[in-house]
Amino acid sequence: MIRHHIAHDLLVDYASGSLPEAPSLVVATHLACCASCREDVRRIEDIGGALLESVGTASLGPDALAAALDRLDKHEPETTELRLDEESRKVLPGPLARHVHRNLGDLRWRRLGPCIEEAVLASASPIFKTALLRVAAGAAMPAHTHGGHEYTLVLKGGIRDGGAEYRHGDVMSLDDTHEHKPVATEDEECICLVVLDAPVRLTGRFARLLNPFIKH
Amino acid sequence: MSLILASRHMLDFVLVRPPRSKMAEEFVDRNGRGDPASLLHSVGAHGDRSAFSDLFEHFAPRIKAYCLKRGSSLSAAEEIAQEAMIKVWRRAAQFDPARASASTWIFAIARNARIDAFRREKRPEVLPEDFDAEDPSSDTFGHLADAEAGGKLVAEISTLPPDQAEVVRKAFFEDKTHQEIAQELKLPLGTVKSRIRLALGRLRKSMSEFQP
Repeated sequence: MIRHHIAHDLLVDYASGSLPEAPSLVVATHLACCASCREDVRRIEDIGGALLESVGTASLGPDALAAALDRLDKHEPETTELRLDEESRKVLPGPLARHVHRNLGDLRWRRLGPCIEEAVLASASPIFKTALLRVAAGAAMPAHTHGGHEYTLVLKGGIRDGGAEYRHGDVMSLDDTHEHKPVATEDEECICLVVLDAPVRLTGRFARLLNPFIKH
Repeated sequence: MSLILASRHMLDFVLVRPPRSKMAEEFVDRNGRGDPASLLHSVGAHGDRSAFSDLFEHFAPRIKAYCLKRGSSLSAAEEIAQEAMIKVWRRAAQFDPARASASTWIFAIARNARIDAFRREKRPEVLPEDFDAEDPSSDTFGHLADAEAGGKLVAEISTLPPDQAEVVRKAFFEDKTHQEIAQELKLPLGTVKSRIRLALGRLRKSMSEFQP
């Protein structure tokens, strides 16, 4: 049961195709878990579909259709087959699993503190940091402030922050006006996807990119 | 001056090459084979190449126009239209007419193909098999009929207040996020959010009258 959804403006940016890869990963992963946001995105995509019908036409080359027909029977696998172990399959929803593309145990986990580990994920853009965070049950994540936005999506376990509880698929979205003190719930370890948007115009970007959770 | 500019922009938003007779061209059922949704079904269920050709002739030039509008070069737009249509062929079996109209479904594929090519980023995609099994909803909602919705939308956009039409155009055709639109127009983010929300609400409301 999803309680914390993606903000409408972010869904519009995602559905219109303007949102960069890193935050799109958060949105897509949430969508895999949340029928109500999927429905919202589909409604926005309806606008896109209607625009596609009304955008006009630009003729393709004379051989375009023949070239396409030629390709239909060729075997061009879209993605390499993904074989994940049971834990990884359970923790990583499809869009995130295809991005991570390996088992949780095969990621390079780096210890940030006695109870916290981080695995940095590939990112096409240097202005975002994308990482998985693993926090021991009941452990406090260090309080921190930062520039830009931070999206945290819970994959396993739970997080409590400011009276709210976040579970599988829930998204915590914070901007620099927040100071927060998230704590992992006591029932089990918590794994979450964190995307940090550190706009170029801000100073101290590199310090933050190197380690957003080190300032406590 | 600003009025002229605003109306030129709005027209620009809607049409690359304005069809003369109607506001939006409807799907031409040249071979009497049915609407885009039935064609997609034939492709998905039977690998029907002739149905695919009909879809290609209708949608590929629109995808190309959409890409040109969003800043792709001629050759890139042509290539993206090709790639998107190949994906339509491969994924046609996943198309569920209960979940989306054919043009909405193809729009999503075209949008993702453009992002993959244009930004050299991977567009994180959500596939039907990704949905959480315990999810109570089966994702079957009413949706828009294809061609009528396009025509209706064009008419409706021209009735939007210019400030709303402008932000929707920037969101769908200029590759700009809310944040970037706010910066460019020197508006508070909250203002851009509410303009887009109002505009989409209004467009959606008018289009929902066309739900089958």
